[in-house]
Amino acid sequence: MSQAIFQSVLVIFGILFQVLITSFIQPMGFKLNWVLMILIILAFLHGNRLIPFLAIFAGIWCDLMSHGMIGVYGISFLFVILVTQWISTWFYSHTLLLGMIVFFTLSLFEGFISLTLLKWSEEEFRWGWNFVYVAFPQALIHGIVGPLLLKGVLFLENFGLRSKA
Amino acid sequence: MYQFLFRFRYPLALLFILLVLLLVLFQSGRGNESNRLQKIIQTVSYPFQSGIHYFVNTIDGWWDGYVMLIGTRQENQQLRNEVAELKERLNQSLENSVQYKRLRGQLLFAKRQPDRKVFAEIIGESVDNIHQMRLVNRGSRHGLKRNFSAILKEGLVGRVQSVTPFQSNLQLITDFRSRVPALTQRNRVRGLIYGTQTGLEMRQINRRAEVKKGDRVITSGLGGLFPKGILIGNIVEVKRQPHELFQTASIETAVDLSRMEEVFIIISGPYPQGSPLFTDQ
Repeated sequence: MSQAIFQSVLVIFGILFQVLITSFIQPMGFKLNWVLMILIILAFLHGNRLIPFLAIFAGIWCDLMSHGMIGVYGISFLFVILVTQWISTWFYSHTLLLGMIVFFTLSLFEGFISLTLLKWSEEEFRWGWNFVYVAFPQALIHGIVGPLLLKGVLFLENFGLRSKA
Repeated sequence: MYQFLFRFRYPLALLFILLVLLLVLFQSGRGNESNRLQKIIQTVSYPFQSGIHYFVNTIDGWWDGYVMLIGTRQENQQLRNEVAELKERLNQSLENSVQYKRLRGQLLFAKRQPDRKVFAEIIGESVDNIHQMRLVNRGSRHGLKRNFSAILKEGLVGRVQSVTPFQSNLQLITDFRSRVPALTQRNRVRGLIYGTQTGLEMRQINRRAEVKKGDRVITSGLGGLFPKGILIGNIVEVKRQPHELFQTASIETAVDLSRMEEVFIIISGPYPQGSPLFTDQ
């Protein structure tokens, strides 16, 4: 299985997981953004050009499944993935703590962008409240769950691409 | 003499035993206390008796504890399976009962109301924590269109935001983009219901109007999006600021939006004569 197919399958699996399963798994009452975490992992591990397109595709899908305003997650995911690919060149290895910090920071950044876009589209939207009570705790949980997911993706990658290697 | 004794040894032995027994019987009938003979017999027989008792008990215990337990494991497993199955049946029965009561109430409500409605089940919700959306299993193939109202017998739920052939997205009244023209049922004070993600607020209430905790708030029908008279909720708090032109009231939704499993979508457009009041395909 080539890497591009593997990445596409993984993102589609993440989208389906997000749409179908997320409402049943809500640690501390928060829905996790599995698609974002998978995209961050892929962008962090691989710097190929497919991932930003996958990010846009996944973002539009999430837009359609959450509020119907196409573009919010499409844009925010794209920005986060570009930043992730940029900062991934700074690191030559990753530790658990570093993984947690990266996931937390990038999730918070994604929250910042998507909330700002929502604020632009809706004047009454409470940006500050949502940033403090929704985006921040969600980013914290992403910081804990993300490194575990990273291990899972690495395992799947080794498993799926072994024959190719 | 010896020959006589030898000849009648069996009858004599039997007679002797009989006499001893009679003697014992006679002695024991005299009083409640044990007599000497009885004491002797009991003392002599005690070790044998207790030994036999111990032996029998051991055998009995071994028999009951091991031999009779052959197959018990399978029987235990079978019983456990039966218990699990019965628990599942009980659970299913309770679930059916709860579902029946809920659906019956909703069905009676649907029959009472003159509007044509489509019954829809909620099959999903928004994938983020910000928007209050629900995905239902009815779409344009079932007659749904954008902006149709979603209700339950308890009150207003929201509106259809987008429609696909087989499913639709509902925007709940608590979504931050939701606006519902409303009035209080008691004294017809008008306002606009805003969704706040966590609840509802009735804003733009005239500062001179008298609204109080417990007032029921219904849809006013203004704008034509929602039918008039549908219950939205009750006022739980009124906020008045001396410098503001309007007062604001916090509303508790009539419908428990976090727990609902199905909704009715009001088909508000023109529909053919004689079409069923209640549609569930």
